[in-house]
Amino acid sequence: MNRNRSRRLTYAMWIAIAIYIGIAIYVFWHFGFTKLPPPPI
Amino acid sequence: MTTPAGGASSAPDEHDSRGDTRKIVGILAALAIFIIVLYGYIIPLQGGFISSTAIRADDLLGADPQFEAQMPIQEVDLGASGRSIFIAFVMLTHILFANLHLGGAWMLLSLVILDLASRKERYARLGMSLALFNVILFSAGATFAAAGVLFFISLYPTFAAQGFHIYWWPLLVEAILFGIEIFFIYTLWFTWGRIRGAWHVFLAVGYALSIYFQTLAIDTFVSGMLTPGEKTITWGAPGLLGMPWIDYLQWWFNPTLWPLQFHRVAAAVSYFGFLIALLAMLHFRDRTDPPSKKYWDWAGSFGILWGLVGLVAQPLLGLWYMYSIFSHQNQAFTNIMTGPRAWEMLMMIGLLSLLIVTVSVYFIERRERLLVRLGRHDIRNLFRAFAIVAAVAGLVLVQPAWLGGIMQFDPGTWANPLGLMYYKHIAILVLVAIGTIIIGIDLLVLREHRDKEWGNLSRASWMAALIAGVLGSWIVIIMGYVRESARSPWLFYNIIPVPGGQTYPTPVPPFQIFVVWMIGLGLAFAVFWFTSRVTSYHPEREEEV
Repeated sequence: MNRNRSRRLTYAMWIAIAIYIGIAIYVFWHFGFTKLPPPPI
Repeated sequence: MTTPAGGASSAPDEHDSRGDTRKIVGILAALAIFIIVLYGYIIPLQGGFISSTAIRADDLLGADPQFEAQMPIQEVDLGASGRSIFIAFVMLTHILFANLHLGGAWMLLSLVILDLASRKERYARLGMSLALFNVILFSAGATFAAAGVLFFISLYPTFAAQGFHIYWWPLLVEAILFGIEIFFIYTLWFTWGRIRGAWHVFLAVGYALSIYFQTLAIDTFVSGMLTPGEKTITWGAPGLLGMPWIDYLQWWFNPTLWPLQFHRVAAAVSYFGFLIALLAMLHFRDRTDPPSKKYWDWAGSFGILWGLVGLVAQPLLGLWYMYSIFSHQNQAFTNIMTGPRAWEMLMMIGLLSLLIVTVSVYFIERRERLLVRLGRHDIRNLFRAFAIVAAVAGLVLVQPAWLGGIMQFDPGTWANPLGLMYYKHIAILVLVAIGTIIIGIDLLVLREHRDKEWGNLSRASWMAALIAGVLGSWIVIIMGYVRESARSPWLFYNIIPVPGGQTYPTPVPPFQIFVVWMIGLGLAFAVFWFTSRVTSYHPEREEEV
């Protein structure tokens, strides 16, 4: 594979991984922290 | 095990070819301690030995008499929970075989595409091995499914009559897809290397989609038992539709269908990946020639990565699933999160944490030699940090939220300040991040350098991959049990009870289900290994990399 193309693909995949972690944080915030029952006070 | 396969490569300093087996001892000790504390301390103090039939006795009094047992209850001579144990064994073992297809189809598709794109022999070899493995074990999965149906009819006739009637059309689709699925997988294997690549991809996509929709068809039934589409079962006139079309749609496309479906796919992918890693490790030990050692070392790593991909997807899908249960069957949610079945979730998340730790240890040990050679001490230290942080996250996740009562908010219970869900959400997020970054580092940073190292598998990484295979499989059948016991003492929640009342309590008690898990896993692993021995293609010569 062309070296530049390989490098671009690598960057793209790192961005995809970062986006996935971002989605995970959002999902946990959306469902976990705000909608599921809070701990008793 | 010292395995200097594939020629002499001088071991760099700092590297021990055995690896650090103390880490493996630590993982096994943590697993043993966790199980002992869970069974000896947490389960009794959370009312886990008390049946849901007893706890929900008042609810059962309101069950419609037409859905109670109409015929004498068929016992199976395994005690009061005998029927449930029978079904648990058959269906959980069925899951281990059925998930070979649901998860394996995607791994197989990736191998077909990689083979087409790179023409490296190992992709074709592993793809053919997996295809033949799944062809042969298809009948085992189908046999357990058919046996399960027979047992449902015999042991729970009222439920079976109602359930199979409501889900006639999805079950018909499922039955037809059995034929389509075996056509695709059999043809895929038989025509490997004999037809053009595009047709091969078509067959692999057809296989993956047919098993996906087959699972969707059966999931309409399975999810509908937990969150039924209607408050009761009301039949109409005879005909193609036994009730109004809109009612059928409510039953089939009930609130937990999609989260269950997607969670199942991710879990199956993870399970299959870790299982392939386990089998690859056994082949690695079984084979003595260097080309085979290199190949199975690579196959194990390939499986671990797939296992990790499925694993990091599950917490997100699982949270969606839990929220759906919370919104639409709140009592079932309290059963498994703040009630007497919460120990099952603790067990599941405990094993998941240990799996992430194990995978971290695998990468620490497996890539140690490579990282030392490349001088990448930063990655080496990062992997070590991941293992430690994952262990800390695991310690947070296995904290019981309370002790000393059946329900978390019962008077007099002790609330564990470390058991708050807020902390657990953060701990799960940390595990997801660790798993995802490990995938990135191994696939993107080390990819080009790994090939020179295949065959130099240390004993510690070999054992870590084996443990990952066992934990990855165990988790899948724990998940099945969690869903079933969340529903107890109902078959269709709040509509059809488990017949027999207090004489036949459900769910299957903790010790009995442990025995069922061990027998199911032992049986499945034995079948997988002996099948794998005759379905695996080994390299006949050194592959040019």
